[in-house]
Amino acid sequence: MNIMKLAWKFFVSKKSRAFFSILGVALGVMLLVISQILILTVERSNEYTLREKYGNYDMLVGYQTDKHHLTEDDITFINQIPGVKNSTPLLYPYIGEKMKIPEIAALPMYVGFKNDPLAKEHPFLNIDKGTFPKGNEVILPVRYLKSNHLEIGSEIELPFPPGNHKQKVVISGTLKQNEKLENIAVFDYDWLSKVTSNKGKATVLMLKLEDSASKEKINQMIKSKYPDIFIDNRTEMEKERENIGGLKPFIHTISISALAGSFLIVVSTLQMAILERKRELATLRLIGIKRYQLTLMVIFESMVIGLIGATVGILLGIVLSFLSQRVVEQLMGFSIVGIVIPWKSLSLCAVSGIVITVLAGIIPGYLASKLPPIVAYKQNEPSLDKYSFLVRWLSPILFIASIAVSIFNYLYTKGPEWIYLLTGLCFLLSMFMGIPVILYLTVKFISFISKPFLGPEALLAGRNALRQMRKNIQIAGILMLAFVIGLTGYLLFSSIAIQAEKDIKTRYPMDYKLQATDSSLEPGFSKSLEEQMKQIEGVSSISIPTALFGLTLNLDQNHIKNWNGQLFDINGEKQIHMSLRAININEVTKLHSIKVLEGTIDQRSLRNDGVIITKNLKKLGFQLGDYIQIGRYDEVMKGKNAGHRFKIVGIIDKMPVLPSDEYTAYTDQENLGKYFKINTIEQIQYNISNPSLSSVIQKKIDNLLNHPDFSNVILYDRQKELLTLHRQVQQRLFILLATVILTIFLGIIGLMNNMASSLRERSREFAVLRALGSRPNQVVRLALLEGVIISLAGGLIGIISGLVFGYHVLAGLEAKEYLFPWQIVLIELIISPLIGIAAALIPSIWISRMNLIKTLYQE
Amino acid sequence: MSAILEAKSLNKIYGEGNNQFYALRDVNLKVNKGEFLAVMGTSGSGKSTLLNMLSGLDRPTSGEVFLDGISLTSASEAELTKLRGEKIGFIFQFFNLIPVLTAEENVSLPLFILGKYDDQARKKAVDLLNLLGIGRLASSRPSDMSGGQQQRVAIARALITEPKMILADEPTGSLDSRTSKEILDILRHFCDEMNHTIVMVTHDAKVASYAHRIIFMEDGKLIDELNFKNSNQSVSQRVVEITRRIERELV
Repeated sequence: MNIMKLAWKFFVSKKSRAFFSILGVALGVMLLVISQILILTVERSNEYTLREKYGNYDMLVGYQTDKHHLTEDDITFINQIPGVKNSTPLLYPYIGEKMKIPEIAALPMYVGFKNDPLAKEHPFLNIDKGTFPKGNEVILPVRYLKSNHLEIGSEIELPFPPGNHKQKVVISGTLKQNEKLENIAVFDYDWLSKVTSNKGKATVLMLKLEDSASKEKINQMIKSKYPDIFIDNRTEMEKERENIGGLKPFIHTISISALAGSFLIVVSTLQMAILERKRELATLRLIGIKRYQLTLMVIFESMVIGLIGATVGILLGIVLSFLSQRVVEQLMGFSIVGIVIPWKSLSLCAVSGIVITVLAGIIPGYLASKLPPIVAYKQNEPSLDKYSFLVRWLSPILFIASIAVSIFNYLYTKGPEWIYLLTGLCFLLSMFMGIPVILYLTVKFISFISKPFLGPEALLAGRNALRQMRKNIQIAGILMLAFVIGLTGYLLFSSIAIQAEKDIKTRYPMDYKLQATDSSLEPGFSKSLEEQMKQIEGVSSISIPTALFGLTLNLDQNHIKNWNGQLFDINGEKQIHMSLRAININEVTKLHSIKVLEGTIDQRSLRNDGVIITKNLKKLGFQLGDYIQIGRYDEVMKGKNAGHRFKIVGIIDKMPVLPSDEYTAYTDQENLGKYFKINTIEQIQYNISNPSLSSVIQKKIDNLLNHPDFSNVILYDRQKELLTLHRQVQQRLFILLATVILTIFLGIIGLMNNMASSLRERSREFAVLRALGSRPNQVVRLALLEGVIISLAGGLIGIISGLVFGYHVLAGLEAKEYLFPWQIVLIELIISPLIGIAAALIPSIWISRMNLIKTLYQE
Repeated sequence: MSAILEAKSLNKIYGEGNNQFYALRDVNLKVNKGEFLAVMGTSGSGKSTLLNMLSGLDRPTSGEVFLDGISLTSASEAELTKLRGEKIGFIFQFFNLIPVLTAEENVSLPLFILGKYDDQARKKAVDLLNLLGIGRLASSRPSDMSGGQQQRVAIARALITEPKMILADEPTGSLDSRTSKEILDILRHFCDEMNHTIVMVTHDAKVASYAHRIIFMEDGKLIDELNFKNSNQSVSQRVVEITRRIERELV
């Protein structure tokens, strides 16, 4: 008989252990396979979604002002770059200067497209009704048509500066209702270029590449010839593509957990196999088998486990992927076009599984070969007193150092955020390395605190658990890994979600917003909408009157350096654009609170030509008590208006209903009407105070908005934004949950294997207990308790490690929101003992039913 | 003297039809209170099978066993378990102590199983260990003890519930001769001075010589008996007598 035949005999002699080992590897490979299939399938589905969302093109190359253009030669050069599949030109005749040309400042942005398939991928060419413009035709936003009482087929006159140059154009269609398309007017490229004297020129070239991987190279070639050119690499789209909507890193976590978990399971199983077969292996050594042959036997066994496990894992992974398609769709929140099997990746998964298993066999194989025969005959487990250097020294040093540095950094040095990530990782590493000691102490602690409740059973179970410590280190490691992933992931997602929700609530301070979207500098709708809204019962609203689109006229020239935006030359001095808004302080303070930094927010003071300014305007030199002179933009630009002076009576942090308005002055509505003839409303923010009437109220508001007078009003629903956010969070939490559950499942398999093996070893002890009068259920309880203690210990270590590491990750990523995940900690505390019960149940029932006599008298 | 243990027409058959094997054939036995009975026989004679029947660990194919007037054969599994805990003490060849428990805890184990593990139980355990001369090892674990010491712990465990009967299966099988003598002296002492009833299985004539009465088994049947109860013979004389009986049976 040769070594391999002997190894095979050993392998099949213990079928249950072989089964568990194969199952452990199969599960790990299955997870890898599912994650690979998921990645590719989601990538494909996402690609369709991205193309719908962003359009199927790869780059935009051009200029952002009308001073520079791409000539015909430029376009030819770019088209001939290797990797460029095709292109289409876009013309923005007035880009960058539109605001300076009063005739078109208030009109939609003119843009010319060619009527080709690539151009139609551009988000601007989202035609709702009508046809692509030919000749002197134009497509306009639907709101523009409604507010100007126009329709498809109407003829209008539009200015085409310079000078008083006007053209008659026919409306050939409308654009889809979309925030981004509200200020776009689409023309035929050839006609627009002729009319604006830009024949043969393009502002931007849209490119489709042969392969998006060549983007960087093409980028460099264009930049080398045109250093000042602007290139939009569509990084947002690229990021989404690469991250599959931000999911790829989380899907990779599954792969890593799967590999780590499987590795630990196989090491644990093979080590156990060696411990169980000590006597047999020692006998082999006694009769002359060489050490390397013993190692080979163990490695052979691990190879068999790897081969069978990998095969089973791949099959399971493919089947489960198909079966779970609908579930994944529902939980991920987008439709999957079809399961895609990446055969190359799967082959790699199989090979990885086998390689990992063989590697996992090397450690136990080496240990088996080092076993002196005489030691193998001893009945006792090797003592845990002799810890390795790692456990004895490195782990506690790393533990103390990481905590100390972290605390010191937090309290004193307040250094860069990466220190927290580093100390967090060091802490986690120290916990993993120190599992033997930490597990030992935790088990002792649990036995101690459970003794008053469970009596001597806890004592016996606890001591047996300690006796099995060496076998359970890897299992505790798996459970710890699961809980660390769960807690850290949850902390991260929750923090991001809370911050994102706050950002949404900043953008939408109230549940709903009615926004004027006519394309003018001072959009607004009639006050009658406000009056009608106030008549609807159950609605609490705040009206934001139309703001003056203004320019300062007395900016302190010494403070110009604090301004990052555009400067306007007015009478030899630099001025900035700012808004002057009317505000009803009483209305605002009914629903929000205003943080006053200096002065007053009294409405009467505002009425007396007073303004309150936001704190950012202070940086530009405006102080409490100063006067600020503001003029209407287009009038100032034409030199017609000297504006009006207002006294600064108060300085606030921000206006809660308009938190993103950073450079704004607020005054009374009377002043806007008196000095600037502004009497319209720009926004109405409202809440529905009686949720049960929500659908009725919304219907009333929808009816109001259908009136032609309010055709320039769009309704924005904060809830929709929040729902999108929640859907994204749900996707990530689903992947996190799947990872945690599967890792825990690996732990259960491993623990079940360990329990079965250890109970088998101690079957005689349990037989003695039965002989002495123990009932079968008492034996079951003892065995279950042992499993519970081990899993609870692993769980506790995992919870503490997860919390500490999680907070470090948050600090390292400069998170603004920290929370204590009570529910998750509680769930994990409840799950931990249940894991032990699940793992120990079958082995404990088996041991309670063993043949008493046979077991008592076994050698 | 009253019989504490009685077996009537015990039969134990394994297999069916032509493959039947009689492990016990029509065994009748009475053991009186305070008696030290040794069961001798070669390997496969049925002595261990008999012990299993008498302890309730196994059930006979036919026949009955009564312990302290209670029928073991008609008791349910739960009743048997209870009986074992309360009325029977076990001493095994390989001691079968629980490695993770101390000597005191091992001795108290039967009381723990019965739910009577308290300070009184602990004191009783320590007293028994003192009686057996190993009180100083109360906090030690089995791995720290010699074979003789472990067997003494096992004896103490068998005695703690004050059982009606102690069953010992080759109690000196794993011990050297000197230690074996010490253990057998202890067992004999408990019988003579404390009126415990012991049924011991052995294949060793020297071990059997410590018993009051020896029964010989062969092929599942009781074939002979020697009674040393009121005998003045020395140990060596008893051993000779036993050996002669065994040889006679072999011939």
